[in-house]
Amino acid sequence: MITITNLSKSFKLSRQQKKEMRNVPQGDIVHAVNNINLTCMPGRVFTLLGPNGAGKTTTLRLIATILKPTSGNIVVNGFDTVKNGMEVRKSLGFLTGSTGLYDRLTPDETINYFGRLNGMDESTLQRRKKELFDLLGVTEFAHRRVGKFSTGMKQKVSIVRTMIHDPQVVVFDEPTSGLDVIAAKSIIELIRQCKRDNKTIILSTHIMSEVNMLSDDLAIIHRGDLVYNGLFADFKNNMKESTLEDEFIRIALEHESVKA
Amino acid sequence: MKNIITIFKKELMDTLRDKRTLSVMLLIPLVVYPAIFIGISKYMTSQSEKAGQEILRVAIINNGNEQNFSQYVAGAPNVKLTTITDTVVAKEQILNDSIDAAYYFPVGYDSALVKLAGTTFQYFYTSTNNEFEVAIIQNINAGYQQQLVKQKLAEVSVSETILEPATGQARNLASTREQLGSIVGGILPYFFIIFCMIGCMYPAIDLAAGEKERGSLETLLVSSASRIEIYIGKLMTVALSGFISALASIAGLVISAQLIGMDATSGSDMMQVSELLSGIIEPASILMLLAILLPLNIFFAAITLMLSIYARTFKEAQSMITPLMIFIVFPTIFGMLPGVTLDYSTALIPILNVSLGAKEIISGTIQTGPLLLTYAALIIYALIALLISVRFFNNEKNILRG
Repeated sequence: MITITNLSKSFKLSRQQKKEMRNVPQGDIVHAVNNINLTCMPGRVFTLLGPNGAGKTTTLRLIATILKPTSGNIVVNGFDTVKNGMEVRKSLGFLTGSTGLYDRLTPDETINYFGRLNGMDESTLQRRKKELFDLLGVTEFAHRRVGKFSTGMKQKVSIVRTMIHDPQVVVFDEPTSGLDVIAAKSIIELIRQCKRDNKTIILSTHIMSEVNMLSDDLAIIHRGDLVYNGLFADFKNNMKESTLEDEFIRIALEHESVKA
Repeated sequence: MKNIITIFKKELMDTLRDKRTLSVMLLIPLVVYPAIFIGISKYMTSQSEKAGQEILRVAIINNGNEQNFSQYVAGAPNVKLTTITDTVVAKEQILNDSIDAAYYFPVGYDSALVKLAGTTFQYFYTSTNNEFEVAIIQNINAGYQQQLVKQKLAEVSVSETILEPATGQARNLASTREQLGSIVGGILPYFFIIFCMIGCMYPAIDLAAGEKERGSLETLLVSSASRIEIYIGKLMTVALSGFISALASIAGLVISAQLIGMDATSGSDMMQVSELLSGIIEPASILMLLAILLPLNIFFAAITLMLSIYARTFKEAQSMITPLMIFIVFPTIFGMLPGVTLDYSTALIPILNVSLGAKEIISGTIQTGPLLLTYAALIIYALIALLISVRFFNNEKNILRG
């Protein structure tokens, strides 16, 4: 379970960044996340929807303890991300679109590395590694170096890396970006499996078909503000436009005019 | 602690599998010293052979008098004598390289000499000629003058010793190692320092900026390892890699000493160099060198890793770290200048103290006080660099920049 209370995160802009963003009059400080409240429940897929730069990745990084909140707090599985960062990370899996593997290591070495870093004992690590390798078909290339793998193969290793320590909370940050349909399909499968295993899942995406396929709860975030937060079923029932895309654009534009 | 070891082991394996890093870290330092010493040895041997074979073609225009000059020259080694009647022809022949030098004695030269009226002879040559020829000309002139003086002194029955009533005889007590150490001693630390840096550079770039670029840094930060553990694991790898480079270059020195020692054609100079190298290779010197290079490595590792963390990409890290070389080369070269020695003030200047310390360790003239101060200063600099670098790594702004 993830509970986010009054969460804000602001960044101070460097001179260079200000120059690059001179069209947007907003002073020195950017409010990437603005007083957000959310709850993600186990066994449900919580989807975070928003355009690029809305604050999705910042929110997920805050959950994953990579960033520290400016104010407010986040509790993951009963642990505060600032006070108990290490406990939070132990129960957390994090998967992004970039596979982020080491070219000169084999899948076997990569998984050992992350398993050990996550504090797993050796026998559990080896057992789970074998299970996951067999399940995803990594076993046949487990001892070859990652460098020459196809994106699909890398993605499988990446999934094992995320799931090796059996995390109770799994964060997916645009997990299918840059993947072909087959590789993307395996990610969708993984998310469904996590749901069946009663894990807490938070998914950030801007692909509407995925939203439609997977969401139980939905939050729409736009320019750091939470503009919708509720059941996905309710959202669909109350749409003013005929498609998800159009409805999303309508909400975004409406919020844009309120902000201005 | 367990995490640090896990990270260190993984990073080390990753680094050792990178062929480019490996060649920069091991191969080049291993090969550079043997290449330099064998090169110098071969060059010196060939030069001294050349010098022995060089023949100076000399022409004399004597106008019927010269007071035994041609007789003297004919007896000098490496000289071939021809006679020409005209200075114009002589100049032409020198310029088109059919002779190397010409001596002109004016009319009345001999009688002027006899009267001690003071006279001159002229010699034509090109100063851009090769140094052996110029050296032979100078020898001829000096020898001829000496002969004239001797002759004159004999005429007035005065002993030659009047010119030099007493002779100072030099008895140099500096060992060969000290003498050569002060000459080559400067260049050896230069390479030690450069290799420490080069050994740190590539792993540092790969372990921070490279990891950022590949997108794996985020994953690592989400693991249960703390930032400080990640940082220390990486720093240890970078520092070790620089240290391995330095070790490889010391191994290169050992190989050089062996190779020169085995080569029968090496001249006596090179044998002395070989002796010098063997002197450095004694355990106490090597230990002192390593003790000076270890904190230097940590210092370098902390700085390179800090810049690499700040950089967004591999390329950016490279362009930030490469200019550091200038800051390292400058004090190193300053340490090679004559008269600059390790004392209680130079021991406080980073890199310069390593350069000077290593130089004196090599020549065997190191003094305990300044050496200890050097160690202390280096350790403090390394710790400061480390602290700044850790703070830098803990700042989310730097780590997620880009």
